[in-house]
Amino acid sequence: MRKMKKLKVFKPDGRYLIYYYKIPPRARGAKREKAKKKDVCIEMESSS
Amino acid sequence: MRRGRKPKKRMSALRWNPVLEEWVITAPDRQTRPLQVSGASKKECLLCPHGFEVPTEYDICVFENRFPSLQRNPPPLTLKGDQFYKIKNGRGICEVVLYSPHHNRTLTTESENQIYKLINVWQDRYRELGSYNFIKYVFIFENKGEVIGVTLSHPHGQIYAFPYIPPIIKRELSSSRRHMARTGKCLFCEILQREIGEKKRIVWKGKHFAAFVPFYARWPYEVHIYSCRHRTSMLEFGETEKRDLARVLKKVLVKYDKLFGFSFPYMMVIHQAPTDGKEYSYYHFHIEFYPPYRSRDKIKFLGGCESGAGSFINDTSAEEKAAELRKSNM
Repeated sequence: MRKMKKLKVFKPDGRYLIYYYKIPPRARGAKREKAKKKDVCIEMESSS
Repeated sequence: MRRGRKPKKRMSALRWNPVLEEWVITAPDRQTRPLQVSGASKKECLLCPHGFEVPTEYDICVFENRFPSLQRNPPPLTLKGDQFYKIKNGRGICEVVLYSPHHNRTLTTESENQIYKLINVWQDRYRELGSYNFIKYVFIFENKGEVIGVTLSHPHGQIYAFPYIPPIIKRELSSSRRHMARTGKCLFCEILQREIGEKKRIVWKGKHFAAFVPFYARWPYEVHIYSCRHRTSMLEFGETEKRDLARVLKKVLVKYDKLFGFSFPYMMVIHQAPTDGKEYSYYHFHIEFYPPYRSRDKIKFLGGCESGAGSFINDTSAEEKAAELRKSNM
């Protein structure tokens, strides 16, 4: 099992969205969102 | 509503019921939440990858509920309370957990590995939400099926991070604390010991977790999953325990679906130690399932006796229902 990855991003309305395991490819819309709010990328402990 | 538009917030509040001595959450914003159940296709699903809520691909995803019962930053109260009719800000956090990118799946049809990953996510959410000083209890649950009142069909669960300990948890804490003081033993460990010893209500026994219809089941197909080792929360689970919990969950879920040959609705709730910084060594992690069906075509509704007197009537025997579930999927 690969390491669990966690990516926290913020929506324009301020709500957060957290992706687990698979870091999603950056979509066009997501890039614009990133410029507005600081993203946090946290690598979790190994799960195997 | 256009994507990204800031929703206008209305007050989410806690009103004190002085008769039952418990808080009631009032969240008028939730009246406008979307309804998208069985008829919704993958294309119009709000929760699918590239959908309304999640702009990209994902494996498991968590986001703050757009229509929260409890708000992280609630607006000031517009109603004034007093010592008798107490009112407080409904400060808390409500999250939605998307189990899978696949629209037509359920937790039952997910692989054991995906359930294991979900357990890791639950662990992470419990840790993170529980670390906020205004959060006293992290409640992880799933409502499955239209009959339960699910408003979105994409496989998902929810997390409510409460600013107080909810009443049922309080009662469980109180009974297990008293039992520990009286006998020196964990109440839940003792229940598990009895269930394993008597065997007749066991549904499935794994290495680290056991599933059974409790002696005192309120719902016909109610199943509880207890950790065999004394664990107060999922933060204490090791890798093998998480793997085993995924296996036991999958077994129970498949048994439910095979029982009547349709996707079995249920409420699944996770009970574990509060996160208010106090000591709860006498409490015990467990999961409870409350399915509403009492037979293939009959539903148990909460009637006057259950809702008005707080006393459940179960028309079935726990031993018979456990035997049915043991045989299911064989």
